[in-house]
Amino acid sequence: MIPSEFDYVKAGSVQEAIGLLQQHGDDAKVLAGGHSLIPLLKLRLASPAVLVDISGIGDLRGIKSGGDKVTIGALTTHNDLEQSAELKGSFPILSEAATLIGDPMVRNRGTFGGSLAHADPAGDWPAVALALGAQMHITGSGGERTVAADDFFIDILTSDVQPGELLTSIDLPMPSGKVGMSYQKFSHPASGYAVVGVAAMVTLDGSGNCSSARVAVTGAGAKAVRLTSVEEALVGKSLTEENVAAAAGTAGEGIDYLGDIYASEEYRAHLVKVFAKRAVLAAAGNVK
Amino acid sequence: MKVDGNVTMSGPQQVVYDTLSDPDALRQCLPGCEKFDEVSPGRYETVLKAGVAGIKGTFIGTVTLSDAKSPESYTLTVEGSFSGGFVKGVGNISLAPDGGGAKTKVTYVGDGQVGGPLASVGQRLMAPAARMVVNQFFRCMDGQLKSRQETGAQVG
Amino acid sequence: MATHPISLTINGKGQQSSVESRRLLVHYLRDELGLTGTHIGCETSQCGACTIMLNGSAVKSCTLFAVQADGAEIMTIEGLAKDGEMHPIQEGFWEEHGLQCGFCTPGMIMSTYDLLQKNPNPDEHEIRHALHGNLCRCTGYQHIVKSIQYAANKMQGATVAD
Repeated sequence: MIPSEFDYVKAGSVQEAIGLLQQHGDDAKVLAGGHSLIPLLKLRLASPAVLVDISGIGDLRGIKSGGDKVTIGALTTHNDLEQSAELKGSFPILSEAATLIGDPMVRNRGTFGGSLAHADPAGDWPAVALALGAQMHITGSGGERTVAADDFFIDILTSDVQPGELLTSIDLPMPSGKVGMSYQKFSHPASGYAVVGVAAMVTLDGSGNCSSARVAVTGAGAKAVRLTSVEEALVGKSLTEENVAAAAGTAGEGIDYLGDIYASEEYRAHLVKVFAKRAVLAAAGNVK
Repeated sequence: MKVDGNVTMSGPQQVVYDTLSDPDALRQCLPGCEKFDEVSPGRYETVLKAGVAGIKGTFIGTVTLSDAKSPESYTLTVEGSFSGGFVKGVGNISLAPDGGGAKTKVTYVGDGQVGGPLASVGQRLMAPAARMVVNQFFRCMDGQLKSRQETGAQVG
Repeated sequence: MATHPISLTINGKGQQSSVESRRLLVHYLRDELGLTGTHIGCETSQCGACTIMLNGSAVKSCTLFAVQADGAEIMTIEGLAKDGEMHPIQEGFWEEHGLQCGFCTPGMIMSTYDLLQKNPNPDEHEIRHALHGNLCRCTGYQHIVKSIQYAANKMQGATVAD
């Protein structure tokens, strides 16, 4: 399989990359790890005239903890997140979710930012980013802007990153208090993509009841979304199996479910409830 | 692959029907339409450049409007090639008055088959992509309806 | 046709070439350099037969353009044996019947190389997790796991002996 012809430019800095993206407009695509883009190029489902390779921009890879947040560079690989000792304490969900992405070779190349900007409806990171309340830093010719995860995913394969812009880093607000988090995924056995994946973060108050919850699902519809009805049903409750099951039973309102040859809409709707329950219970089980 | 749903459109049933089956409106609202030429009554040779985000392809084939029962329903058949594969789809579009007759509820039930590379690897992305394209189409058609009624232009 | 000069190290040897932008790394290795030990199986990033080491990590060379490897250090299956002596991983696959048809074997071995450099003493679960991206359709994974355990033992023994 050989892609259509294109030209390749390696950008040395964010500014250079943005200049190139603006110069080529719709004809250009950003190349980072390439593990979503290159398969599409090989099938000629995408045929951009120019690839702007940002993988050499050193500032964009790495994990920095500072005060009330952790900042993850867009080029940080899934494997970096899987292995990071620094994140195991504050954000164990990142390693838990990373381990479930693709396979080791994919995790060595694929990037956190690329996966978020690509907004695959079955990608794992969008659900995790929503549950953690991530803030996306996007740079364009006019400077930087910040977008909350809640507003970042627009539709299938469409995020808020506009042509000529680059997602540069992602902030995760440091959880405070007694917090637990988990990502539970029903993987497609061949592709590894999420048939349904649910990420949950719960905070407990002094008496052990849930004081806040963020729960998000991927794989169910055209984009990852928060399960707000589940979140609301959890607040104020003790996270017993019974209470969590009742809350998870409300999952799925407002989702326009995907159905395909592997999993029908009804099946996905069922899985969302099952995995919402599992994710919240697992999160409740690792509160610290 | 099934794509179905319904949408409420601005305008009385006959006006909506006439717009939805009007070649000029179709030419403007079919995504990335580069060619839409009538080759026999109700049959159009079509070239569309369509896609979602970076995944774009060219559809080359025919669009046929048949079983026209104005202003209630018609059948839309799409057949051709897309990005190295084949596409075949049949959609039934039915209309019913809504909002006391000032608006029209359009219900569509479509079934499509796709073969080739898109089908083998893009399978999981096709249904949501098709839905997005269909939504764009009806939004555009609704825009056409509004502007035609505002300018008082003749339809059909 | 856009071509780009690239300069990289392959199995310890410097290499300069001019490649078309769209040239896949696996095609460059096989067709231009004759390193046909790296196999092409599915070509859709699933099977892992094309696995190589790039800057110290296992990657699928069918999902990388040669131009992206400019400046990189690459090791292919051909780079493992030294002075006609099989690498312990190769020896493990030989001793423990880790292959039948051998098609997936170069990829299996390169993934194992990546695993054992990061985790010299993996348990069975860790081995199977590390092989997630390598498909074998004839031998079955049982013997492959045993081959890797053999290699891990041998390589640790060698380290101790040093």
